[in-house]
Amino acid sequence: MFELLQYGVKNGETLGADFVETRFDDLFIREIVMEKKVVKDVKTLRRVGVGINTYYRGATGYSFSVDLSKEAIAEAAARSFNIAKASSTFAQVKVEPGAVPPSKSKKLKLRVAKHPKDFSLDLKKNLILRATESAEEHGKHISSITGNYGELYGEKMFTNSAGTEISWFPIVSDLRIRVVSKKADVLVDGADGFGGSFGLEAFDIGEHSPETLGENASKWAAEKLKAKPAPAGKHRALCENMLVGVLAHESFGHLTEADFIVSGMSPLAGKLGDQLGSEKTTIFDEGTPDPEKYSGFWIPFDDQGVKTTKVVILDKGKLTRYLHSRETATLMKDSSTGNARAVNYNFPPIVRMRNTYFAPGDLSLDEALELLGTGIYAIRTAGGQASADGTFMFKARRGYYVEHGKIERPLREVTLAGSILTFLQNVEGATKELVIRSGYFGGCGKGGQWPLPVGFGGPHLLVQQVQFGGEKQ
Amino acid sequence: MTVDLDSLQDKLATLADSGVKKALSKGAEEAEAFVSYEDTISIIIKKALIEARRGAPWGIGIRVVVDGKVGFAASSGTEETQTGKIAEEAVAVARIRPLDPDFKHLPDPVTRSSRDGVIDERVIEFSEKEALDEVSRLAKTTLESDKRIKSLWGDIGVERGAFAIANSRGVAGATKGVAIGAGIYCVAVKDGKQKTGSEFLVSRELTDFSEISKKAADRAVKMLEAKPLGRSLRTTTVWENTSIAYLLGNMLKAASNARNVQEGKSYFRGKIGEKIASDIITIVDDGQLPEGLSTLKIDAEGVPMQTTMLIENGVLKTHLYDSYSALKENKESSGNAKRESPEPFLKTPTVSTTNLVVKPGRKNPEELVAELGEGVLITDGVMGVGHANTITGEFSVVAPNAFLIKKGEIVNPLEPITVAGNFFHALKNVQKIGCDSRLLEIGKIPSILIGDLTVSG
Repeated sequence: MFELLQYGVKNGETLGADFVETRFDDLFIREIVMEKKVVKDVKTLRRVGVGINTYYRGATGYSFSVDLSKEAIAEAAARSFNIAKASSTFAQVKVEPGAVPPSKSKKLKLRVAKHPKDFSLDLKKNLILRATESAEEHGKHISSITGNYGELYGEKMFTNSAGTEISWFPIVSDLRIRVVSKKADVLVDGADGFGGSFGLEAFDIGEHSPETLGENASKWAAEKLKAKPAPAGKHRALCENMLVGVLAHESFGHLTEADFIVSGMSPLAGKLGDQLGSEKTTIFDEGTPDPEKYSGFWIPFDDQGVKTTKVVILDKGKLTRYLHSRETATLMKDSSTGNARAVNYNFPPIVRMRNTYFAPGDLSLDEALELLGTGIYAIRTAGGQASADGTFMFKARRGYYVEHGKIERPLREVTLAGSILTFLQNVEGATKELVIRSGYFGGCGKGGQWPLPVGFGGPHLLVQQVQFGGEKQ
Repeated sequence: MTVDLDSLQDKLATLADSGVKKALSKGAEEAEAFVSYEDTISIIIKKALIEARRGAPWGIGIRVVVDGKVGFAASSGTEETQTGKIAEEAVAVARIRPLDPDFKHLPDPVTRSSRDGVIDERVIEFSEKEALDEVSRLAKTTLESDKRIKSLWGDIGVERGAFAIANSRGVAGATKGVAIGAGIYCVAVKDGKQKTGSEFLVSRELTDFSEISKKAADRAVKMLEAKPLGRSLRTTTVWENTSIAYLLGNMLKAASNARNVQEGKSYFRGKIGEKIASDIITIVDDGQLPEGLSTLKIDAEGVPMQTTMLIENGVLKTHLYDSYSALKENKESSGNAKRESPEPFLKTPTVSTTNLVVKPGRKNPEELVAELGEGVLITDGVMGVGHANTITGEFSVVAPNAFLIKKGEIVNPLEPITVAGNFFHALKNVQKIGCDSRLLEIGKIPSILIGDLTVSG
């Protein structure tokens, strides 16, 4: 395959390209949806193709082919070159690939005990079934149970004019379950799930077994039946690991992506070195968080052949780095951080996050609850929105009212809103444990390139003056 | 390097036919193959940074019936060996699916005369160079139109393609289409205040896009003088055509979908022949509107597309069907099966509206505002349509580009307001319809005046 990819590179160079990047994706997707115990939908698809990115006189052009014949690759290289050439006459700013040391790393893979490719659809269906049965056993007033299983795996290859040759095997497995309980007029839900760059062995462990996931979802739905909506207004809050992770990605991370910076869309343009958050806030974006400890999305190289680095975006509240592709890096006289990613061969790589998370602090969870005193403990997210100016609105999956350091009662309708910059300034403390998750479901949708697997997480963050409520049910 | 859509159709039809044969050879009782090809140019300009892309995603999706159960699998590309693997996968999927007593069989051929929409040769020939030229010019004129415009994202997209479908019950057909569209999203800044505005245009014919720049810039600049509404009230609203289109489209798409009706997930269930909207509302689902962006000769199951009266003078006339929902009621499909773009070959058919055409009224938007008295004018896009409840009709959207109206005149622009209510109740409160029908992806939509919605900000 590298021979074919290099053939594409050579074709581009012969036409006059300054630099050519060629990649090959062969990605498999399987998805099963069950409602109660009935299979509602099964997706099984495969995307195979070659993408070619050409640099010509300060501009780039992208094309691709699903046909893997030499002739088709030559045509794609020509299309890519032609579009770069056309673009060069319009480009007002010059983008260059920059200097990146060539790498030769082939067949990089995570060690996975039970790779999903080796197991039948039936077995995966049974994972959902087990979670559903457990949910039924532990639930109250259940009106519906939806279970989802999703996986993505395959191989990605990359080569370029500098002779870089990389290939690696992405993988992600994910199991989710959502229970809706209904009593009189009250409709509430509970959900649990587990996803990341791992195989089916992940669901063998008690904490993440289908049985536990199903039980949790049911329990968390049932406890909300008597719960009251979160009291609207400003409260001190303890925000759980995944909730702060979503904020790190959606609300803050996007603002640090250099394409938003160079185009002036981000309010963080020109703010490098500024103290944006409290001393307790440090945010990383990393390609390969230790897979032994965390379940992020494992991505050793980006789609421009750059080894993924661990970037400190925010260091004790100070903005330290933007996230770069090769193009934005040369434009801003920085080096690429390995953040150029494409969802599949249809698209050119653009600046995207990998695993974005808050750094842990030094508190135990008990200490954090004690410091919280009276306030709201908010856990995970069930949707929301973040705007380009940093305002956000997220619905927490679960919430509890805490009084004098004790979890007193569950809440429903826990919605957090505000400005991410204010939120960061109000962070008072962080717990010492770090959780990172990713998954097949969800994913980032920037630039129409959806769903791209990303990881996110952090510790628990103690935050003052968080705006809750505002949404009527 | 232009695509000959007619010979493309023929090629895809041959591939679909061989896909069906392959699937039958793998043990399927019935089989269907869908093959599509979309030559796409996409240029995005982020102020000065250009992202340019051209290529054609194509591939095959195979649906099979095994022991009365349905399976589907798909892949990019159409190599012979790969097609065989997909067919095997589809059979494997069918085996784990439950037996659905409502599934009768794949569609039978339907004879009904239908045709492709407008095919503009100039769109087929439109090159990446022309696309770059167009979007660069739009970006430049937007930035130059007002010094308060500080940033923008612009884009242009061109698509020309075809799909073919065949099944073992004798369905065999192909259709083709073209589209071109451009848009600008820009940011105006004054005294640290940042406001946005956007404008776009989509068409099957090559169009003059130059108006977009000024309009987008105007929308953003106008908002710099925005004041907070400062209260919550029930009032009358004028929705500009682009502002109401997405909400109207999403709601009608879900409510008219016969599958949703059958599953009890539609507001239109049991309401055929009933008055569901004000007298002035007449809406046609027109799969044969020549200029419509969704117009095709056949739908995604090979059933001819047609023109369907959906709501006539406020009375609901019918629901919309694909073959699954139609066979369940012993009806004929209304030609509303769709596989979502891009890469429709990877998707199973769902029920969708085609081009929703709302019958226009006589007043232009200025006259609607003049006749409004007190209320708000909502322009440009609104946020939160995706979170609306399409079953009950409850919605709450944020309008960043709205204006306060008093005594039939615009008083001032408003800081973002929330507009909430029930869409289906609102249909009965539609008091006036504008004459300014606009071609959009969901159809042809005029501006609309709706009474009694909750507005707060």
